Amino acid sequence: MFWLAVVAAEKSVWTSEELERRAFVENLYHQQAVALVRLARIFTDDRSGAEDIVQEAFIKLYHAAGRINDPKKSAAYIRSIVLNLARDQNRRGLMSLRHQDGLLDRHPVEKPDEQVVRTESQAEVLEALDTLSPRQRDCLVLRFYMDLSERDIADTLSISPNSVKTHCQRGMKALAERLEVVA
Amino acid sequence: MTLEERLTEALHEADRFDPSPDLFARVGRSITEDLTHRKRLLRINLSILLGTVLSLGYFAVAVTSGPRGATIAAWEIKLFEVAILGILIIVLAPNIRRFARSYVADIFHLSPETGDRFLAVLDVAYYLVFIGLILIDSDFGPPGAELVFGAALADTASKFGFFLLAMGLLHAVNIVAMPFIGLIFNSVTRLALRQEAGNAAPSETLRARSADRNARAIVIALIVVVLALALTMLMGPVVGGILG
Repeated sequence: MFWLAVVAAEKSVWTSEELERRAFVENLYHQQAVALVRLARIFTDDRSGAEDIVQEAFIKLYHAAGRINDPKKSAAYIRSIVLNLARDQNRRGLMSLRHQDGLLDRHPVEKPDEQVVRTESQAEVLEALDTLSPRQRDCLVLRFYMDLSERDIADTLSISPNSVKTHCQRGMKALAERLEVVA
Repeated sequence: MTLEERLTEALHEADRFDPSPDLFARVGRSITEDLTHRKRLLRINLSILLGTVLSLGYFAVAVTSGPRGATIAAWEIKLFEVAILGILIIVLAPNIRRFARSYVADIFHLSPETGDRFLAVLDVAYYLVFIGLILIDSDFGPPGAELVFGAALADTASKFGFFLLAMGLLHAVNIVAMPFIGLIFNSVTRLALRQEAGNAAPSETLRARSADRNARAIVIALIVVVLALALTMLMGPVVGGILG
């Protein structure tokens, strides 16, 4: 309904197919936008970079809407677009989360040494994650941040569930080795 | 804490971030702009395809086979030239204007209305110059004249090339000259505004004073060049006569 009003205001004439696609995108936006911006934020330097990626992802989704046969797979599809765009843009990556202001904003007041330990611990983990291969990193982020099942991760990355399992295992092993080395 | 817990905690720092309230509106606008852009590209590609098909169809009808090989009547190839050049002028004008608008607005920032009027005058000059170029070379040849098709086509391509080169050069001169025109205009406008404001005028900034000095230097240089050219033209024959 929102878009119908915008269209009327812009005095544009859209075909019924275009309106259907817009309704599809609007629906998916309301379901997924918050999660997608946060997912993109893990891979980018700042909020505007993450929002640019999500904006671009929805444009691509709009044009591909006609090819998506199973609406249940649309969430996986747009997640994969976000991950691909984030990778293509070659951002600094996971390191960026630890450099942001207000890292401690959402934590309850604690003793100063406990705050430092938590921040350093997070920074170590993110640095170690950044050393993994893109596929291992994607699998671990989708598994441990978005709580997706192996099936859902496989749909997002267009690989088999067995490959997801392998990437997760190898990724965790590499992380453990890396964090032991740092320690 | 296990590694899984550490990883989960580190990644969930991203939960601090929420989308901007206007992201949805921006997505909608981006899709609209992208669609408009794609439709425009499609129109351009279809126009080029249609133009190519029509041209091939025209030549298929106009070109005849004779003792000299493939030939075409002089007036037919000339008509094709005039039509294509006319279409080029009409199609390129709004695109040049679209890109020039922000450039001109920046140059005439003290008076954007003057910038718009300047563009309108430039449009008139553009049409006069290029329609004039087309008409200068509008000889349709004697009645019944036949030309060898290959040579005629090569000649036509050269004319198109010359036309586009002339367009490009004139616009390049325009682009280079416009900042100087803008500098002089803005300097004159600032002086007029200061005189109008009288004692209430704010003190001049260093940048404005520097711009005014540059504008005066350009005007003086232009006067010197014009006088030198005029002197050369007047005195040239006299000196030549004395030496000769």
